[in-house]
Amino acid sequence: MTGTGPKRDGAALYRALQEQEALDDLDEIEAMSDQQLDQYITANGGDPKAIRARGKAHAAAMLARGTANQATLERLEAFRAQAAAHRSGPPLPRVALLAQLETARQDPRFAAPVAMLFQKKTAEACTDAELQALVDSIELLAKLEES
Amino acid sequence: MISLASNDWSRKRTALEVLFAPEEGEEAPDTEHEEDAIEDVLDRRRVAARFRAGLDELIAGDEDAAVVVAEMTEGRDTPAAIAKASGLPLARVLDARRRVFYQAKALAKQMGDAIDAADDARLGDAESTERTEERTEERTEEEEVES
Repeated sequence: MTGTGPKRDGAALYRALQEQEALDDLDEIEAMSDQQLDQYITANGGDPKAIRARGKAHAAAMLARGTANQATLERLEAFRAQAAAHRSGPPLPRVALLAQLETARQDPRFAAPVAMLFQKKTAEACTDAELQALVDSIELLAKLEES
Repeated sequence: MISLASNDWSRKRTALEVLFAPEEGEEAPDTEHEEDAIEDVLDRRRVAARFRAGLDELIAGDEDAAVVVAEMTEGRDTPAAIAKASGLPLARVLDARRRVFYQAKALAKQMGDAIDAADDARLGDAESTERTEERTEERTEEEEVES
């Protein structure tokens, strides 16, 4: 807030005071040297060494989580590339699309997802583009199963 | 005093904080509970006005603190913005802010405790009335059985 809006009532003023107090505290901590911070923590009954050790462990855990996430992201990127390459083929005629969906419906691996896809709309009511997207999705699911 | 270090963020919210919390996803009040909703809004406004008046009283005589409160009421929150608008040196603004935060926190605690005590008393009265009514009913039933 920069002072251009309406005047604050007591409740809004109270919230602003709370927020600003926390920000002032953060500024104060940031302005301290490591030694001053240690002294401050000790003076207030804290154990700077223990806090530092906990912080180090927390940072290590976060880094490890980041590395794990990186592996997942790489797999996802590879899958996206695979999906893009797969979808670049020419669209199939409607009859072929319906036939493929029927085949998928008979496949125990895809019976449930196909049934779910047609919960709100029947295959006959779908446009060619919608059917093509469904077939693409099912083929991708099959590829995922195989990989 | 750094409030972050005193575990301020993890403590239970006071009654005043609950009352002054920003309202999320406001919906039109349903007519059945409209009177209660209006009463709540009025209650919040009354308490907000009491908070503001109480704070003014606590900082009476402290001109720098009064400037800080006046500027923050206008929406100028940061020390730099307050210093610029008021012409006070930054160091004095920072000191005055600390005094305002301290008084605001003390006042909020006092008002929160008073709200809690009033709620407890109201609940106690309601329970007591309920118990009296139950005892009267029991006595009436016993008298009917005896006669």
